[in-house]
Amino acid sequence: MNVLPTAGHNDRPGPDRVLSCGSPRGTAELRVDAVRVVESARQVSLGPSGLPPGWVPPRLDASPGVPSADADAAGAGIAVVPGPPDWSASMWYAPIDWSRSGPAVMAAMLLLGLAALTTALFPRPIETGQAWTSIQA
Amino acid sequence: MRADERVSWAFMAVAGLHVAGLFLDRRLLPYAATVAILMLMALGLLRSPESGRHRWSRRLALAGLASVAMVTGLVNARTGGFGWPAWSTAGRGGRALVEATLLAGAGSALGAAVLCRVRRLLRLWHLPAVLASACYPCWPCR
Repeated sequence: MNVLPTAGHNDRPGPDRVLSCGSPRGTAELRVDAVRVVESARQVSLGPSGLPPGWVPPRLDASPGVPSADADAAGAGIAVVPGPPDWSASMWYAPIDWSRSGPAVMAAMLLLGLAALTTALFPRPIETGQAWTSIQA
Repeated sequence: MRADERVSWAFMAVAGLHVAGLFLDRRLLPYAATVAILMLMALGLLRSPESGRHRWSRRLALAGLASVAMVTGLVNARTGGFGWPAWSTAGRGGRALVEATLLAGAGSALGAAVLCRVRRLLRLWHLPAVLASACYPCWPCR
């Protein structure tokens, strides 16, 4: 499961950060409202682990029907919502990543170059009678 | 089907498998690049007449192909059979020296094999190739 921060959310109201967790089966987005998180953190007394006592982190399920976070986490500005499907985890449906095809292109060029060199330096020998047949044709 | 045609088709199949495996990031056939270059060498041996012109050119080309096959085999042996060409320059110590020496020898032999066929060595349109080959040793230094 990959967790990628989605950029571009700082210039508009709403969630401050969106973390997308994806797999071929689906994605879940963890929406974090930084202002609300800080405000709620001021109001609660933190336990020895640095988290409010009894706080359970929201469960990120990769299935399409992701339940929203529990009420306490939602109140603290953290919500889990279903996201768009993440095709990057499936090689058959993902768009081709051309930046990763460098070794394949390099190998193809080297092998093609060697093949061209070999066929140029070692031409196909003319079989006996072939020249005469071509002249007749 | 003649023997050299069979080798040509086998080369295309193995080389295609190697490139497809690299492109799809799948381990399809270990040592595929080494086998493909050995098939090119076999093709050259099958098409070499025992006598005739350009004998030294053919010998140099076969020596160059053998060196390339050895470098490919060494790189693949170092990386579990799938390292060529991405990990060609990642060797360390004595192995890197051997691989670099073999690669330089292969380049020299193949270049000399081509130049043996040229009727007139100095021509104006050879200049870009000369400049490119002079700049190529500086490529890993970037």
